[in-house]
Amino acid sequence: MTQGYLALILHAHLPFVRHPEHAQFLEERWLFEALTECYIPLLLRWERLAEEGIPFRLTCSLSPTLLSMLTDELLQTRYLAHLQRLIELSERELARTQHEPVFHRLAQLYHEQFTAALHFFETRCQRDLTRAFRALKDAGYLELIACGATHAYLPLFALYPPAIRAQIAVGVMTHRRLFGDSPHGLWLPECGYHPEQDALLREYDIQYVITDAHALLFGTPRPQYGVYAPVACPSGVVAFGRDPESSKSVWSATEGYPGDPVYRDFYRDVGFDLEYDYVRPYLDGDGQRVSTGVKYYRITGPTPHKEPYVPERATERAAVHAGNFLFSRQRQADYLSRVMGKPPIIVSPYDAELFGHWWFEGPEWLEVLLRKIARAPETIQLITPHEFLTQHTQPQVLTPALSSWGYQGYSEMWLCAENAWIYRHLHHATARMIASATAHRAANGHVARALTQMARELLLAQSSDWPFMLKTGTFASYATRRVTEHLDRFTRLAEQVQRQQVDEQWLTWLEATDGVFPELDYHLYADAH
Amino acid sequence: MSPRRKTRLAMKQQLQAAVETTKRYVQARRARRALPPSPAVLPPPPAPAKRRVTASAKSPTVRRVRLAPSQRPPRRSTRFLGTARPVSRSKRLEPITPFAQRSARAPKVPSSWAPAAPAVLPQRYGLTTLVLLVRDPWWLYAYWEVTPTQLAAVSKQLGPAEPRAPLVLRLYDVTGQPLAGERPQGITAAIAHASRWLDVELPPEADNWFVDTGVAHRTWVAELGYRTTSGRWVAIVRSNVVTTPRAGPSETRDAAWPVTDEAYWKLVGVSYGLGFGTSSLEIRQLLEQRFREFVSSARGSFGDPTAPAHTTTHT
Repeated sequence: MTQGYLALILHAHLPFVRHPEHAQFLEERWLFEALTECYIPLLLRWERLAEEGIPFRLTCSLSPTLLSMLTDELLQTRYLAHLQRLIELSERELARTQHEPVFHRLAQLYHEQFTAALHFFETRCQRDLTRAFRALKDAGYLELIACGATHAYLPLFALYPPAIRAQIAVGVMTHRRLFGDSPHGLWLPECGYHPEQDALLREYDIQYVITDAHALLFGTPRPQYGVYAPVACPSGVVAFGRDPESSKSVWSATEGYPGDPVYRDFYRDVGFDLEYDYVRPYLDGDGQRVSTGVKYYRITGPTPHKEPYVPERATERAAVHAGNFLFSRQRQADYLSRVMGKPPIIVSPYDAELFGHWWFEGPEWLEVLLRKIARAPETIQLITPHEFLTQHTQPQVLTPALSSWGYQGYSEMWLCAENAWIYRHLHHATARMIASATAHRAANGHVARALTQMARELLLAQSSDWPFMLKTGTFASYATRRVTEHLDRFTRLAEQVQRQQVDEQWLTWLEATDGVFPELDYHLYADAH
Repeated sequence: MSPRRKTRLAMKQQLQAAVETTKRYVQARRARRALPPSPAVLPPPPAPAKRRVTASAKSPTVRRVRLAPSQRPPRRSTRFLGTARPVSRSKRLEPITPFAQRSARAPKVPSSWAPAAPAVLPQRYGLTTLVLLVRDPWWLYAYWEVTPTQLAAVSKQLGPAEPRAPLVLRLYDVTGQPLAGERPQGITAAIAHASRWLDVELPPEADNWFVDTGVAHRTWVAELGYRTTSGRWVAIVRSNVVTTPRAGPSETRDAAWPVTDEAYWKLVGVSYGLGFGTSSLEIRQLLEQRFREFVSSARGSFGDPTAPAHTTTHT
């Protein structure tokens, strides 16, 4: 009998970025960096734990756009080339730093990391990382859950239930295709919960979703156990509320672990520091200085002067932080089990990219945490939301409040002065998609293909990444281009469908370029009546 | 000078010469290999100008959104791609060349399907619409389009003698009203019994607006129209119905799941790191304070539906 349960949930998502029309493309680096720094290191560590027989349970959500990129041949080939360039860079760095032991050690570390990544990617996974995820899931270590098709922020599309249905359906279908079974849970993008949308989840046998804390705390009626027990929405879908306290220690820039002075600094990268001609082959094709992933300095403090990174100290600190995290959860569970009269479930969801990319020592921290928890099962036990539901009685019924885990807790991040302009266009396209699908229910041949491609373009335009980028200001021009291009392609296709004259060659090119979700069916958008 | 001293001096000079030769040799080797100096001796690269992300008042049609105060809540605020990365104190941003310039310079794979000019979204769709979206418990966002034919029809209704009336966005609070499945007659009846309405006067070319309603957890429906000097309201188009979310705990309790105020606030306190054993009253006060600081426009205390708004309110 344990004092409390801990549900660690990692949400992995990247927007669909694939540009076959350019030999190299800056934004494709997001995928390559995430592979090299997050997904491969995490998978390597989890496999090592599995080989040693250390029990652990994690929940992982992989968004359909990320899954599409992981299984795409062109991107796999480009990633291999990227990794080979990184290995070459690390070899040159080894040669350059041979007279400086401190930096030489780090160059050695990166060389080992990149060659291990290459071996894992090429040999173990045969270039398809979904195999590794699936193997861990089948062995019982990971629970994989679905996510919205293109990670659209659903509350702002509440006017169009067929669009919500399509996002959910494609997420579930992609999961079924790649992992062989129906997902028990669905990751609501940005934890964006809208009270009228959970009924649609029931149609796809989704058992549970994750919401932010105030969805439950401000729910109607009041929750009896705060966020420490799940609740059932009137439709039957169960909502697990995030515990802000456990999130803060990992996410917070000021109070959290990642800001510790001995951890690696994200900004001092050789791509910016070293002589241009030396690093030119390893930068973007355009020649712009970018992060390569080889970084030699630690955070040191709130000062522009950075000291060299010392891996041993960082590893020690990660272990201390893992112990601290576990201790805090044990205290929390101890107190809550006495107040509640039963073991609480502490839900801690994080973006997977935090571990390894923003926070280099994140995967080490997570591994140490999993080992420590395995040694003390009577205090805290790792569990997945699905397992919790099978073991525990009917939850309290309440209607959670509309909420998200984004800035300010509601929809402001995706609806503000910088990005509000996209919604009139997105809504118009959504309404037009519903109308076209309803009017052409019996279409076949090129028209049916065109309608399906219209649905793809619409899904890609609805991604929450575009308004996010517009709000933060980074890659804003890329985000604008993506929204505009997808909607423009959509409109041209819609006009062709209306005229019943589809340009087949252009359609074939579009299907190859924006070729996501092969099982997508435009009838998802057709009105029920 | 004694012979021994001469020898010592000669040896010293030879040694110095040898050191100099070695130094020159090492420098020459380095120069031949054309390696850059080690990072330890490089000056830090110049920090590019910080990109300030502020609410844009560039477009006269978009109302300036009130920014939240600088004190950010301890919640995640980044994505993989964002600027506000949580891990480092040094806030240098890498300079990102605008996409159009990079795209022009990047080597391209030839394709006959690449468009000659970048795509542009249309200004208008030729349909009269008014849509309300919920941003948070207090703020709504409205966008609209009015076709010229619709405008002409409404102008006739206003009458030729009527001076140009201002365009007004009117929001009706229809909380608690039966809406008869959102059929037009049901909504008209609800509007007639609205507990309050807000009028927002708009500049002539506006096509979208952020509205601060000042109260949380209400149901709203909007109309765009003209308000004549005599106070007559001529509506052009009506919006969808939206309900803003709660900004505090519900007063409804479930008898089957009894939770006292005390217990509720204790559990909330654990969630927000306010310690174990702090009194529930203290927790409630601390959290109300924190909510007021970091939510965009907190009004009154938790869940108070009767606090006043900023725009002209009629009740």
